[in-house]
Amino acid sequence: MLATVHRVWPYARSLIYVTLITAAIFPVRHHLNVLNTAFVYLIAIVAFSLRNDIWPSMLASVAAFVASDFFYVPPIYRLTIERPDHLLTLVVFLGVAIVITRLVVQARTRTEEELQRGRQTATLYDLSTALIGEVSLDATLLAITSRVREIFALDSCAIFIVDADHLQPRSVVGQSLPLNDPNLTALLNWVLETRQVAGIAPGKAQLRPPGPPGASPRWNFARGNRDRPLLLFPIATSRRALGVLVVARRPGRPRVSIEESRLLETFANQAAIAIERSLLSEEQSRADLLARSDALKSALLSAVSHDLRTPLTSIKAAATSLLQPGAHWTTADRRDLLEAINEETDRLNRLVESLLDLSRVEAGELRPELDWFDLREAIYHALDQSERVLRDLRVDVSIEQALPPLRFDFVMIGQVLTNLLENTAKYSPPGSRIALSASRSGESVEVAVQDVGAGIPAGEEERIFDKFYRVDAPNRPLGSGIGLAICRGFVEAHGGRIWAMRNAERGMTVRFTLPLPSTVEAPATDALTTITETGTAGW
Amino acid sequence: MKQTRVLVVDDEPQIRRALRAGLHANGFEVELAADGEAALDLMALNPAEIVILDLGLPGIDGIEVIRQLREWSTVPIIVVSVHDHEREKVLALDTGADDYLTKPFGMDELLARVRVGLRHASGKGNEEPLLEFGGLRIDLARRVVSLAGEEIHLTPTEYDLLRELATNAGRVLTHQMLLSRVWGPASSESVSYLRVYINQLRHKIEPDPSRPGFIVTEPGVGYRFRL
Repeated sequence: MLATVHRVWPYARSLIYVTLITAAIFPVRHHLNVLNTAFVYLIAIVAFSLRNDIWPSMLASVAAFVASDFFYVPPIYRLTIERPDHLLTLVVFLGVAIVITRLVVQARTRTEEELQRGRQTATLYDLSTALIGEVSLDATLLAITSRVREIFALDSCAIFIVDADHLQPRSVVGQSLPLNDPNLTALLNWVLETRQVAGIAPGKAQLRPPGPPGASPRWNFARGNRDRPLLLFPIATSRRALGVLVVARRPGRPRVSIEESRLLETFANQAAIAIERSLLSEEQSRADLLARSDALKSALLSAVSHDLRTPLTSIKAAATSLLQPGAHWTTADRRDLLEAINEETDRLNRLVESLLDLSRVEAGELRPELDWFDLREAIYHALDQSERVLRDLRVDVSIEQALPPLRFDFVMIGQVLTNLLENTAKYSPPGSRIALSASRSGESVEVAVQDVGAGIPAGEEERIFDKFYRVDAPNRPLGSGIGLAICRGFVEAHGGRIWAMRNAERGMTVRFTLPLPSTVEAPATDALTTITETGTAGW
Repeated sequence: MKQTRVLVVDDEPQIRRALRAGLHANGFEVELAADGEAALDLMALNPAEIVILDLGLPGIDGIEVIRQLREWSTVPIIVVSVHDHEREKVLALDTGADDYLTKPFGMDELLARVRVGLRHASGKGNEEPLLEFGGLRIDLARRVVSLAGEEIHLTPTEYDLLRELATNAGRVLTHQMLLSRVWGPASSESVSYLRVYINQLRHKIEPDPSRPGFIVTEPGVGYRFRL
């Protein structure tokens, strides 16, 4: 019913228009001859055709012809014409009116098409600039759907993407899409497979009814959506089908025109390129991630390979030597081999412990067992532990006299100090000096280990605390890249900070802090847990 | 009896210590060096008769030590390395090392390699006209090969290949060495070509070609004729 009114209204309007013009001329009819009247009608018809379609304009021309004959050409109020020149005037009028109407409507349509094309180009340009900025797939899809919805004044717009062989809605704007309707799913798959546009709409509004290959899905689904026709556009590149663009127009809006549908197809193609790019970049970053974790794995393997096999080599060489049947052993040789086995087993054990510590740091499972300790105790304990590696070095220790007791995990901080001392010893020339100091600094206690050793390249002060990081330089023994990473993990678990600095002259200084407890918490000095001092002679 | 002097070059003190004691107990006089410079100095002053060299040295690395030693010395060099990167081993061998061992290794393996190295250096075995390995006889003068008394027919290339391997028995020969010695220094043949000839040779001389007893593959490196 509504559609009929819609169709008939332009013609009714043209008849009303001619009636009004006739009524306007009627009072002045005595001042006009037939030719004048024809000219007035002609101008009115041109004005009408500027704003109306071709057929209503044609009807207006014919109506004007009839009206001028009836009202103004003698005999008046009859449809007959007496004089041949009047007949000629009216026929010429009709012919000119029809030609001018056609020309005007054509010119106008062309201008409108130009404008439309201009708008489409601008729209596409907008979309492609918007898409260039987006890298992630979800942002790209959202840019497409929200723009398509805005430009075409749609109710809803969605993009379905093939994910693990199934079409999944990845970006949906608007509410009216029956996302879970099995018929929609069937149609989506059909569109994806055939790469054809499909429409679901009542009766004639159905755009390009698809000829389904094989099984025929029911195109007109879900009765409630009949006044919301859906259009489905395939999103595909020449290589693969990526997904489907689904648009639903607002109820009561005119159907999507052929031009709009073409524009939507173009959008779908643009979307295909952008989506392909996003997918490729997602794949690329996954590959990058894998490569990075691969690099880490090979760093681990190389560290473990070197650090595990070196002691194993000593042990294996020593043990197989002792097993040699024909060898002649002096007491000193035999003792050397047994000592090598003994010490290298300790070294292996330390390495395994370090790896375990590192994995605890990595897993974030560090829970320091905090208690009250004198930092001085921890320092002397660490010096004692590192006695063997520090044998050829001079260690100056300066600890502030009035250092208050601190809350820390004795084993962890002991390990931090030992690691720092051993690391320093490894890169210091024999006979050189190491300075170890501890003092109050603001709200924390700062411990510094300073050496005159090989130092670190500028800019790598932070990286030396990364796990498996090693300074790669000639004349430099290789470490495992584990010790300092553990230090950082342990210090940070105490709420402290650790950092390294290049010395002005030679070598480097590593500092770390432990927070001072608030004075209220601090226990009386006699309640302080003390560690039995062993073998600190010589320090 | 004069003891053979061995130079052990390794930056790990514990490894030096174990090798020193082990070699000493087996009748060698052992010199130790912790890096490449020290090794080259020692060799210049008082050359050892065989060198055991770690490739991963601080300062000038093992490959460079081989290169500098080879400028004036033919001393046997046995490379030891914790890396089992084949490329590094091949580079060391092509630079002039005589053999390699991957850490960790047993003292008996090291001693076997040391003996092979010393034997080849002394020139013994190089002038023997008749080589015998188990049932395999190679008459270098008459270019005749026989297995368990029966003569085996070999093509000239197969014979050259076998002679090259057998006269270096116990030592590893890299693909490149075999290609240039058998097919000539200018040969552009590939490793797969060599593999084909080794296979043919194995079919003729090995009692069980699928489990080679004479020609042993050193994966990624080359071949070794088992002593």
